[in-house]
Amino acid sequence: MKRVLSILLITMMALTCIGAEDTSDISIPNYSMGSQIFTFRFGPEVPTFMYRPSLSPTWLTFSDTHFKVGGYGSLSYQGFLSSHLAIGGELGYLFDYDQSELFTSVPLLAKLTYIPFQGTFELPLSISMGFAYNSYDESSYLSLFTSAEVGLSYFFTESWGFTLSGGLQVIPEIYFDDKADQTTYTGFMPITLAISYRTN
Amino acid sequence: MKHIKRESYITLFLFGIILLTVGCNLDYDGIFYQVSISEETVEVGQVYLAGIDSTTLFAYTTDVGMQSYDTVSEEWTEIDTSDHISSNILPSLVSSDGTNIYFSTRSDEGENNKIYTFPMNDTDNISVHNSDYDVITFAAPFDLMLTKDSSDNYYVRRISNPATLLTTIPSGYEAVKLMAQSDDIFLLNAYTMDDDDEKEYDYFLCNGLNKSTLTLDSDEYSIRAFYVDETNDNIAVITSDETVYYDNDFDIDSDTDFTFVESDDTVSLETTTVEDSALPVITDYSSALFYIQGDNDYIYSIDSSTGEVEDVTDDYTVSVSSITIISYLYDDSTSTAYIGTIENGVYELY
Repeated sequence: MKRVLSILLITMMALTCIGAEDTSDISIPNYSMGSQIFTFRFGPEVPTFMYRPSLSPTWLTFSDTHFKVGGYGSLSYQGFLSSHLAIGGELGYLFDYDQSELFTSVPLLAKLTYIPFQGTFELPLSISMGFAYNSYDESSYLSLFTSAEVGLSYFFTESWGFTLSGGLQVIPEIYFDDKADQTTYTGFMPITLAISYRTN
Repeated sequence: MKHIKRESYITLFLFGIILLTVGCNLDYDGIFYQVSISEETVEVGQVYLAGIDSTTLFAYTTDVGMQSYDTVSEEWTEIDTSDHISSNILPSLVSSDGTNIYFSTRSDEGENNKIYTFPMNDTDNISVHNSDYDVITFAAPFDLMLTKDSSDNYYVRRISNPATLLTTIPSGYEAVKLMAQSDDIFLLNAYTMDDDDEKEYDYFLCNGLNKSTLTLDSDEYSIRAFYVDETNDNIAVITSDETVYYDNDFDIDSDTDFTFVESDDTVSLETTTVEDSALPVITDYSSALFYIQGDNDYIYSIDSSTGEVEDVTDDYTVSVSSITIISYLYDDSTSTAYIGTIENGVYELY
């Protein structure tokens, strides 16, 4: 994990240097209603926990979940409602291997982002909610999907920038009656590097 | 504004319907539950158990070939057969007689198979055991094999001593199948085509040289598993249409014919391209109960005295629903049950 983080940071720093010569021309934008931002991101996904209210042990963490490290990628679009608040949608793809099979989740999310600090460096705080189509072996399940993330963005031109972000995604898999004891809330921690394009 | 509100309600309603219909995952265990009990893949492929010598299991594995498995250290050791055979061993042609392992490769239609053997306590000592018969299948881990002659007559013989003939199935049958419970108790089923071009099965249960004909309500389906409770004179069979038949007044030592009762319960079996393939029967041979892995890899107990079927998947310490059992071996000396799996190696079931 340390290696992955190091690679992401080094990549970000390198890209920062590439864009550095243009920074004198950057005019720091202040978002306003109607501003837009497009983002493509990807990165590793760390299985964090499984919470099983009716099973013992109730909590499984990291490798005890039997998930290995996977990945998450997404495309998102957001429009600004005000100078600090953007709303939009995100289509993602999450994958993770357990001991032998592949688990995938395709979330479609409504995303709300608050950006308290703006300019060359930004600090986007996002919450997302929607549903996801989950598949594993021969099973499939349409679930809710929630996410909370914090990022650090650097815009190396007026329009283009990178964001390193991390957070927590939770997929509740809820059952009733005979399978109620298999109800499980699973958390994943995505650590992603994004490239963003913004217009005012 | 009212329009927007109504559309929002409709969207939420449709979303709810989708969640309820697609989200249910009715046929399988919960996804994250399955992940949490998943077992690690073992890189040996499918494991066909053939015999045991003390704490060493012998098996044919599809990714490696003949191997031994130390049940204490849980380590696999390849048995090099490359000096003797050039083609792959067939999983259905591996078995033992309690002292030696026997294996063979595919032969051309009508040609005899060369059967190889090695003692379980001397795996380097591989030799040709016999090449006088066209072998259809062995019945691992028992000392039985099904052979065919040039006139399409079928014979059940001892592998260790092929001249010992146990029973004969006359020509005219197609797809003769051999399943065994011990060196002596075995079942044969085969079909002929009737005037409407439909399969008509005959079932023969043998105890050594005794042969009984079994009569089921329907003869359209092959038997995929059987179990004889010798202690209590019960027998049950499961046919490929998932029906359970039983007879609780069965005499294994008789060579008379027996008519079975159809159980009210059925066993939900995994859909397979080989719908007639024999299922591993899990049992310690000491009670009326035997066990089958069915659909979703659930384990079902079948009571051979009543035909009752019960899901007992959760009764095992091994996460049986996350592995697929392909072979079974019971070590009578230690009362230990071993299962060979599709991709997870070997487990001690109890």
